[in-house]
Amino acid sequence: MTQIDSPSSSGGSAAHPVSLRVLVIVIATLLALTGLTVAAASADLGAAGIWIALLIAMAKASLVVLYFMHLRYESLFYAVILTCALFLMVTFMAIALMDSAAYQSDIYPPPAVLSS
Amino acid sequence: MEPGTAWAVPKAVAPGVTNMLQSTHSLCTTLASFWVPPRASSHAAEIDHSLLFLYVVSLFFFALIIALMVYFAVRYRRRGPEDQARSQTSHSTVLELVWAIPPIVIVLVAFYVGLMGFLRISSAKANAVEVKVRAYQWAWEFEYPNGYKDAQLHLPVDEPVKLVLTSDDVIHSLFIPAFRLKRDVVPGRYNKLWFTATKVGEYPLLCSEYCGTRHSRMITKVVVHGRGEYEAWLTEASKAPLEALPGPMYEKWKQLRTAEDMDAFLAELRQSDAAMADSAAKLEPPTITGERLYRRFGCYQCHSTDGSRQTGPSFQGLWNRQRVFRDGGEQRADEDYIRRSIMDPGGQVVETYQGVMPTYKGRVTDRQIDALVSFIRSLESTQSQPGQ
Amino acid sequence: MATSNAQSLTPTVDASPIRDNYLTYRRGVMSWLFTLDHKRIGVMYLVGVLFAFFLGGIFALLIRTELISAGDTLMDADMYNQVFTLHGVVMVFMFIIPGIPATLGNFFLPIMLGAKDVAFPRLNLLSWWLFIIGAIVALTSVVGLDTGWTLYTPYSTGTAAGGSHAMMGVIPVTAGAFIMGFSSILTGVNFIATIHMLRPRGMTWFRMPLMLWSLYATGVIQILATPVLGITLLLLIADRGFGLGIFDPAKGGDPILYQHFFWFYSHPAVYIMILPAMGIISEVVSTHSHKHIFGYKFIAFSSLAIALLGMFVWGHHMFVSGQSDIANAVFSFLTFAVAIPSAIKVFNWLATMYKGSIDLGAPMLYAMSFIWVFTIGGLTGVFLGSLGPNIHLHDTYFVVAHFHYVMVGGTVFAFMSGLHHWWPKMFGRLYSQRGAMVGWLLVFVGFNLTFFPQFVLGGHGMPRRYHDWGPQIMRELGFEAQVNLFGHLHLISSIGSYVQAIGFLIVAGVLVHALFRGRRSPDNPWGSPTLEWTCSSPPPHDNFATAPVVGDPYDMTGLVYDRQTQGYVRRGAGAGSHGG
Repeated sequence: MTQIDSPSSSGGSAAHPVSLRVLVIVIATLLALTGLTVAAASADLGAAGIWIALLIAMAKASLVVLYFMHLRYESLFYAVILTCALFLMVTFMAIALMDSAAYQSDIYPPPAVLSS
Repeated sequence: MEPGTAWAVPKAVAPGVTNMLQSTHSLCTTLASFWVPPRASSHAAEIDHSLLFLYVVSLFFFALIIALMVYFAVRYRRRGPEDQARSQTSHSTVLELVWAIPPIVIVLVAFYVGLMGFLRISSAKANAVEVKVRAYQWAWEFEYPNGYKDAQLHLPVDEPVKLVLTSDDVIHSLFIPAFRLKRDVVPGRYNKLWFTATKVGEYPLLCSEYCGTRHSRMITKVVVHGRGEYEAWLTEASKAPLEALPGPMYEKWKQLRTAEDMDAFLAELRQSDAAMADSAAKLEPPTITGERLYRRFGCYQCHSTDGSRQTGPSFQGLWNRQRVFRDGGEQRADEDYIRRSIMDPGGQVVETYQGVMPTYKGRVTDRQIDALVSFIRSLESTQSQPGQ
Repeated sequence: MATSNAQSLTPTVDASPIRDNYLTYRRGVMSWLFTLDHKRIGVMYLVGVLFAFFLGGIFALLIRTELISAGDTLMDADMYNQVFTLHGVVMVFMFIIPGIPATLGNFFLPIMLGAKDVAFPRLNLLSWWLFIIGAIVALTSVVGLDTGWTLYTPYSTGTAAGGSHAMMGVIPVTAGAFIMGFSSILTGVNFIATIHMLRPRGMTWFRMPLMLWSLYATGVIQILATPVLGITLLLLIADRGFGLGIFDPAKGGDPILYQHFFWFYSHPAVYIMILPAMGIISEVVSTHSHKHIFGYKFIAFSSLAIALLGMFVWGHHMFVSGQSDIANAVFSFLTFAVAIPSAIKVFNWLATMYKGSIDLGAPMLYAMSFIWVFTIGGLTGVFLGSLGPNIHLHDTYFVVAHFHYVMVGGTVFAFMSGLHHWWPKMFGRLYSQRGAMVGWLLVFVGFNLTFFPQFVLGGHGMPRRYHDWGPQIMRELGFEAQVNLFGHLHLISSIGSYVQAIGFLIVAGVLVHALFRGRRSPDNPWGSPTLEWTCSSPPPHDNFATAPVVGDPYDMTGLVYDRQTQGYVRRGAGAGSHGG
């Protein structure tokens, strides 16, 4: 079996149970935000709609990561790692979408499906 | 030293230097021809110079690295199990900079040069001759400014050209090695290219994005015409004498078999309509016309004429054979069958074949179909053939 | 900086038969299939990965034989298209991506680190099982898939007319690759966790051997990039199975979007392939030159730089797809940037050889030929990263030659080097140097003969994935000269492939023969200073009988040849007290 001789880098914290009170508050908030999502989806918010939905989703994801996944109580190292991964994802999406936007003017209506 | 002699030495040496430069240049050209075909477009020179720069740099570094490696391996060869290394020096920041900085400079130069070469073909040029390119499995179709369509790409020399590329089905890629030209051809979207052909001649044009079974046969050619000849070609080719023939004469043309018949036909036509006769002079008998169209429309890609089974059935011996379809229906391969197969191939697919033939509706005229029928009819087998 | 643990590490000289090692620890098939020992898992991976190499090699020989003459030599176009697709799928997903990390990495990472096992041994076993299951799923479509391993849409979604109709092709292979992707991710997680958490006292980051730095960088890529491939493959299956139309222009989708998704993983994937290979070269070159590695920190940071920069260059596979000029420029620039750390490594390896005491046995021969072929492969990558030349060279045989030079020449040669370097440690047997050298020579010569002509082929315009280099149409159009040129070059290339094949068979024979008839190996036959050579050959079940003493991993002082065991031992004060 593996034996850990000594934690030699930024070690994890000892087991830290999150209090029931905190968990209940978080899940209540999440449920409220879900209600908000449904409401936002039904209402016609125009162009802002997608941004509002994304904001609510980000809020919910942050609550899950910070409390349910314990990131708030861990060392900063893990937050840095997560941020780097998010940065990578954002860069990828940005470049792909920017590129696709650049050739939108060259797209024509889809050709009729040929007989096959 | 007398005044005036200062230039004596350079003057004496100059022809020698020029000779040396010239032979270096021809040496480079010869060496280059080992790696790339002769160039025939305006931006090809820029790309070839990039290639040459990278080639020289690569050769230098490769030779340096290998020479050092082999030299060290021999010079510092282990002489026995107790042999020790002559030194255990393990770092030198100076050295690290020495071998990091020149490569950085070189790649910056290479990046810039490469970028410039690329931008040439993606930046619009005024007064470009525009040809629409349609790629489909597995052939090319080029539509010229006057609406004429051909299976080969004809271009004027020394004039800017714009190609507008689109695909009917999957991603293809237009590649003309002699022009150092390539661009993917994507369905649902137009990609554009600008370039100028600089040498009269004929060059291969290949598909370079894998697109299925006959990807390696999706080849045609580029014909670059000399000054003033491109217009002449286009006018001639665009003439559709077949379409212009009046009805009764057309019926007569359909019966033609031999060259003598053709002469008699043209003589008769000249008596009634001299102008018509002039354009009709390019006409050939129906079977020959049909064969030309068989090539032009890319039928040859899938239908052989020697009886061998390809993606589609062979045309040899097809005429009047009983066809059995995948859904169980049957029909004799007569004129009506051939016409329907061209316009709506998916409607009746012969058993054991895939329904992959594209439709030619809107691309082929009724008279052209007549010519094709005539051609197919002429391929009645003279011997028994393998089952299709 | 002296460590407090001053225990000397003079092992007793022991020439008795191998006993009490990881191979003999428990017996029976079950003790292997459900082992938690990283060494056994590494050996099981080795068997799987070498089988995949053999299978992919058969496909390669079929391809080269087909291309020996014009027309249908062995098979028709449809069969050829399936064979080259499967060659790619098997070689990429089943051989080269697991490749070095799962075999040599699994075996040696904990030992080189000074640990008893990886951080998550059960996860390690799961990785192996996922690899096997994924491979089996993918291979259920041994024939059928004909899209190329890159699975470009809309051909692969089959929604376009004329798209790939083989129902038995896309979905099994995609599902299999998806499963194998998890194997890769979990290996990366394990390695990173192990390196962070299981370093013994005294083993600082800069006292780790460079092999571990490479494996760490590889793990980072595995974790960041592979999930994107997983999602891409799921989207592909959804598009094909349910006709969603994400990538189908007829439904408003974008076929180029697929390429962005696919290459976002598949470009970093090539760094998964090459970084561990470079790690091996660092170890082999320093050991077999009996010299401290030159530029340790530069090599270590270069590995990280390659991993990070390599995440941002995927667009260089799409320069001619219609990608915007700005994206093209950015990708080209970063592609050049990522070439620099690799160059730095090559120069550092050369500097390591300088004034060393170079032993030209099989491991070193493979390492030196790695430098030869990787230099060519890397330099030709610069050709392709340059936008102008890329127009001409993209999707031609030049690209095929380039990536075979870096993947086969690079990764496979380094893998061979590592196998020959560590075989005595893994199995306790020495192989015949002469036999190994014959194998090496044939592989090296055959490899160059196979792939160098392909640079010329590509320059002259021969596209890739062509079933026939001399179709009738070329002659009809009047291009006889081109066809003849293509034919000659393909002939040379195919002959080279047979030479290579024979070489690999000889290598296999030599190594397998050593397992049964090889002379027993001492603990340290090469005189290497890293930790894995301080334990027995083969290593004991829990790696170290006593806790290892950690110092500069490349400190050669005190390593002397012991005539009795014909190996090297560390004597005197040289035992590990030097700073990093």
